[in-house]
Amino acid sequence: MSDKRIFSISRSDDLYDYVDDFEDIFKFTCVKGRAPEKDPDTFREDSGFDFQRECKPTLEILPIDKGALELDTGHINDYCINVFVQDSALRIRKKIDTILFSDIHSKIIKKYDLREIVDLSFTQGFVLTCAISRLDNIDKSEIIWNKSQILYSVKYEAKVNPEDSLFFITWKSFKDEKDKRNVVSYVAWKSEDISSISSEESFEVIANEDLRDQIKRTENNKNFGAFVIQLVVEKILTELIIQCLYKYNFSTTPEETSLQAKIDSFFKSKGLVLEDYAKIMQNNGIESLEKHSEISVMIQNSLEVGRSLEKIKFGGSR
Amino acid sequence: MINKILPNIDIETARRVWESHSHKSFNDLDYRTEFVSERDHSSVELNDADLLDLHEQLSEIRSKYEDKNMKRYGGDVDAEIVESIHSCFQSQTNVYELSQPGFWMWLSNMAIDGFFWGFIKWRFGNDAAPINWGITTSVNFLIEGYFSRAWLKGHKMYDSKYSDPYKYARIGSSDIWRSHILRQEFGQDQEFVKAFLDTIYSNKLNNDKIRKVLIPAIRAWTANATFSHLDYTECKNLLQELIKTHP
Repeated sequence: MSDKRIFSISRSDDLYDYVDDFEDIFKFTCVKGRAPEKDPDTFREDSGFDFQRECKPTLEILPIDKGALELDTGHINDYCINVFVQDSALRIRKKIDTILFSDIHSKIIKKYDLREIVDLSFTQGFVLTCAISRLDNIDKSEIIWNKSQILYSVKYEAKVNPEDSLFFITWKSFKDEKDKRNVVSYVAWKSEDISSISSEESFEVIANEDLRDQIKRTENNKNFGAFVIQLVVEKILTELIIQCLYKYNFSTTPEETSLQAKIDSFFKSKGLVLEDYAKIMQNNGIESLEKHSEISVMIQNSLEVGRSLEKIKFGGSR
Repeated sequence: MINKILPNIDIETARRVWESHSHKSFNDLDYRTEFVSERDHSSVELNDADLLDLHEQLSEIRSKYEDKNMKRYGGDVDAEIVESIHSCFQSQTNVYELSQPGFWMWLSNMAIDGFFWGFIKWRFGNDAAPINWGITTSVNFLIEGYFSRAWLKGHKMYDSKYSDPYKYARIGSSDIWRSHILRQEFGQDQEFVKAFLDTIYSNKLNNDKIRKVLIPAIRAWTANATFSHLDYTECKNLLQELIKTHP
């Protein structure tokens, strides 16, 4: 065996750690043992995951080349980095750190322990925001004069995977005797907002309580149960999708549990772009009617309605 | 404080329980409860007996408003239950347990033989949607459920430095809270919410002015701003500035 030993030494060269743009300042990870990244993907876990104990938010801040930076107002040392953490379930946001630019001379690593924030729980995940803002208010003649204004900000998110059911059924006893006898189900719209609130706040699928046993019996019938239920579901789905297209909100990113987000995800799974359909539907004209027909065909394909009909055996049934 | 673990039910169970109340066929033995935290020999589980004081307080509130029109007085009921709900749980358990949707579904639908279920039914009437009983898959379940929203208001605004720690949890109508605070981005900043509530009441802003002028002005400002690092006075001054520039 040779006595020879080979060592390698590396040093981080401060010169190359300096950045000249705010976009390059921050790196982040919330996974223990993983190096911070510039644009990490949203960290996702299933419901029940303990974000408070399992996540280890780590922020890396690189020093900025103050000479290369051009600001409209003041010097970079007039600004600071505020770090906020937001509990997605409680919808409470707190400042957890302030870092002065005058204190950043080399790379800084900040590790945050979410367990120390005892009045938050992060059961649905969290958003960590780094915002660059003024240390103090100045004269209003400047564009950025108030501490609340943000020069630059970046958000990192950890959250639960959304529930993917498109709707639940609410069984209801109808007051009207005619409804009791004749109505099976319908979509009850509660809001025209289908993008910024959860789908359950936008609509409810109501089914007739007095026909419940009969509906259940039908559903359980191995001969024609699937087919009948698919027809009911197809009707509901068509209405939800058509209304969603008419009310589609082009200006905002939809809330994850909203009808718009859920239908969008359904369209993506079919290789379709919901926004394109919404543009056509909202223009009215014959194209919108054609899209309506196309959607009806798509849903029947998706539910395989025809296949269920094919399986029904008529011989021997009365 | 004893850190009790809280019973939970899943959404399917909650739906079945909710429906069983409608048919007057509820029997809590028919349903299984679960616990989010691991149980061991030292675990103390919350049960109906721990809710008896709360039961009494809510019953008093209910009798006070029993014959009143809920369209007019519902907001007063919503404000009055906050302290009872928040103080009951604050002294018995932790935020992690209280942030579980399954607990609020258990409380609203199953606890004390459906007492809380009946309270919500009384408050909102026959046409109320199951979401008021916490039956939802929304990430915002705490805002949407009736009792969880009351607890959340208390949790968000409780401040022991005031002679009335629930001062800010009590003020503001249900509509202001639900639409203009809890659902808004800026409603996440506690000091801002205090300043917002004081501003709208000291300036006697009506609902129209709040909805059409102040809220859009705040939204426009927060497109490139945040209040999370501002103290109460800074938030208040900024709100006055926004009112001044948006008459």
